[in-house]
Amino acid sequence: MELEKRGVVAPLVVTETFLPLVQAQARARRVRPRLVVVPHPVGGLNEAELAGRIEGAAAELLRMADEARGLS
Amino acid sequence: MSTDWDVAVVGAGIAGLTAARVAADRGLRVVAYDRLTPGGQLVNLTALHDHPGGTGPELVSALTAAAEAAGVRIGYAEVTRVHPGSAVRLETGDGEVTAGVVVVAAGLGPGRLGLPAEEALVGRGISTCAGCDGPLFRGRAVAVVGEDEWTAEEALELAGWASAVTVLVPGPPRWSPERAERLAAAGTVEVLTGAAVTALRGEGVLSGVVVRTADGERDLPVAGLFPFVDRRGPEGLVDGLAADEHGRLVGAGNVLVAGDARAGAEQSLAAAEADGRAAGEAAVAALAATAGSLRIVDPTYGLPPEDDAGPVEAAGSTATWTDVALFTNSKPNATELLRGLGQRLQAHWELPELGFAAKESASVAADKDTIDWLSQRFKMVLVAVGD
Amino acid sequence: MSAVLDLPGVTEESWQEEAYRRGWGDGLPLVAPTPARVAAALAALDGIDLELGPLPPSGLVPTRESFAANAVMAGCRPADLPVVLAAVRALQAPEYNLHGVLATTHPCAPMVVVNGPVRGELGINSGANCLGQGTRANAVIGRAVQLTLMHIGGARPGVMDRATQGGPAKYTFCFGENEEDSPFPPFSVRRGFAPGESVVTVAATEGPHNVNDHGGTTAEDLLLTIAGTMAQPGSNNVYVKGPHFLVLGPEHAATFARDGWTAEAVRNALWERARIPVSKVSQANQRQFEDWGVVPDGDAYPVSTGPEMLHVLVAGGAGKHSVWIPSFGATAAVSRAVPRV
Repeated sequence: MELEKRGVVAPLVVTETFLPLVQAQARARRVRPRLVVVPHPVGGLNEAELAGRIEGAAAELLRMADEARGLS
Repeated sequence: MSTDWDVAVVGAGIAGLTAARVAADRGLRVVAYDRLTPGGQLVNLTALHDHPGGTGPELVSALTAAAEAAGVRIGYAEVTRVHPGSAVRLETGDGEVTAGVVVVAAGLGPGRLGLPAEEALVGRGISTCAGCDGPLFRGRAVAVVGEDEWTAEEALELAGWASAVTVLVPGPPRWSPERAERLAAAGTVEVLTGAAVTALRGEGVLSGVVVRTADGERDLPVAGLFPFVDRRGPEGLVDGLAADEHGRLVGAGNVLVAGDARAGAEQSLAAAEADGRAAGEAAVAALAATAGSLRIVDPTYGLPPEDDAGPVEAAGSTATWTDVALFTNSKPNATELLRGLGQRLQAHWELPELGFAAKESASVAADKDTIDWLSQRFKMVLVAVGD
Repeated sequence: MSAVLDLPGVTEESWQEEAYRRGWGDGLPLVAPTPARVAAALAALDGIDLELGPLPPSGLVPTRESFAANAVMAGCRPADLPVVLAAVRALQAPEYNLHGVLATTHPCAPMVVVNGPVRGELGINSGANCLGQGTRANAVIGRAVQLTLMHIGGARPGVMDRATQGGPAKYTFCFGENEEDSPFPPFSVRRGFAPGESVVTVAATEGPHNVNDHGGTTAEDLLLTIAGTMAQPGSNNVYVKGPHFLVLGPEHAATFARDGWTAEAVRNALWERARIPVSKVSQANQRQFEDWGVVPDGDAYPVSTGPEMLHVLVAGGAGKHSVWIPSFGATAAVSRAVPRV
């Protein structure tokens, strides 16, 4: 969030479980975060499970990135 | 008595949202109904002259956000009937609900002249929203009919677009000296007092109006007509509640009235806001008086920190959209997840390479040097924050 | 948001239900923080500035009233407030890492250790069962700290407080050092405060792990048992490092003193002896430790980064028990003087 305050586009990758915490931090810091939300957990996953997480989140990330860059 | 809500507000304009927020701030369960989206008259105002809130829509956003942050639920439904009682019953588009106190802040209805063919020309020259339709009349002549504060405000708004604005005032003007001054200063605005519209001209689209003054009747060619006469309050909404000659209500018991809907309202944003605040406080007091209440010091209360710096531009950043980095919190698999996502972006944007940084530990804040480096060197940084 | 709330239809009798409905409290009954009770509590802080900053994760700065309201809800007497205040000031020190501590999945709690005369004035237990139930001051001071973090900081369990299981110390965790029965200088004095000064020390720790040694008759015997208890591969202190605490029962402490050991000598010896054999750590965890920059010292891992990370103090009554208290790791022991007018 500090990065966004300095003008850097900084999407935050966060699991569902930690989403409320990140949102509260954002409110406290008066920033509107760009969030890429993935199912919890991430730690402890094997390779195939991790690939699933990446697959699930990639489209949203690319959309967000294009929008920030003004490509959409 | 147990009710669905402590306070139900009818109309989510400046008065209603303010009343709702004040009551919710005091710990009450509050719903604010609006048949459209929140905002009321504000949505139509492009510039606010008696309020430091930016544009109308900006003020609406701020008021809505503040109300929701205080715990107000916005109800997207029309309230069609209110039945007073120790628990007030409200008929809404979403069914019936009960509340301990109701604040009616439904504002005023649209203006109407009561002339033949008027309804057929609404949207074809006749409008009641200068902010929405003003640009349609760029470089053309328009007339505004009315004598209240809104009339003056809308005429000033139209002066920004139209070639000429004639303000037709049936009786004595009721707007403030401050608005009178601004009208006089606007070169393209002419105010005609003692003027009534007796007929509409135009086949399918408005082309002019017939105006009667002490000097007789004459044709006034205009492309747009904005009537603000005979705007009625929400008379009949609440069983048994008295209304003045404009249909504006007089509150009684646990049904309170705020903003333009209230008999004797002053019609300014500042007044509506003050009215809303007073209604919110009155709702709190009314509930305390009827139900009895326990007063406590709010254990969740705190003040925002003082050093609330807004966004700052990265000093000396030369980064472009090819400068993208990953920033991991070093938790297990976080780096792998980021690299996977980063590869997709790299392919999507055909980036030669990605930068990379890691927090030493997920348990502590990022160190300032890393943040400095990332913000100077990169345009976009994908961050792993929580799992 | 307003500093005072009128809760319509709520009475002293129905207040508990209303508080729980609002998501307040720790599950135990709460005292309603009426303006009169809050004003009475604040009298104990007359002439004392709070000197508090924003509490994460909400980022809100407590006011005098909301700070006192939480102490009242916890059951504090007015005289308890300066100790609660010192504790909250201490855990706002950057090195305590309050944000990380509140948001972590680790079961850490704000441990509050009290030294000095304020223990006697408030009846803070440093003797028998001082880590257990039954002493009002210990119970309410620790609880007030936790409620302040929950209510003003917004660290609600399951929402902002992400602890996997938490621990009973999260209800309340406050005790005094048993200076009177300790052979060592008071913990606060060893940390640089003047003798006779009342001092609060906080750290984000787990609950206490018992060290039972009934058979030992020498310092060497006790060290073997304590080092063995500390050398466990599942504590944060192994790879997140940071502070940990040894709270000696007075009888164990007396044995060390009789054999000529100072508190510093005890901690230095435990640094050398509390070692976790590499064979007790899985390959996967060895890699995880390495990611955190922790590699074995020979064929074993040390606990934390050096002898100075182990804080030795004395508390409790009769009996052959001591406790080891591991921490979150990414935190520090922080001490603050109890404010006086």
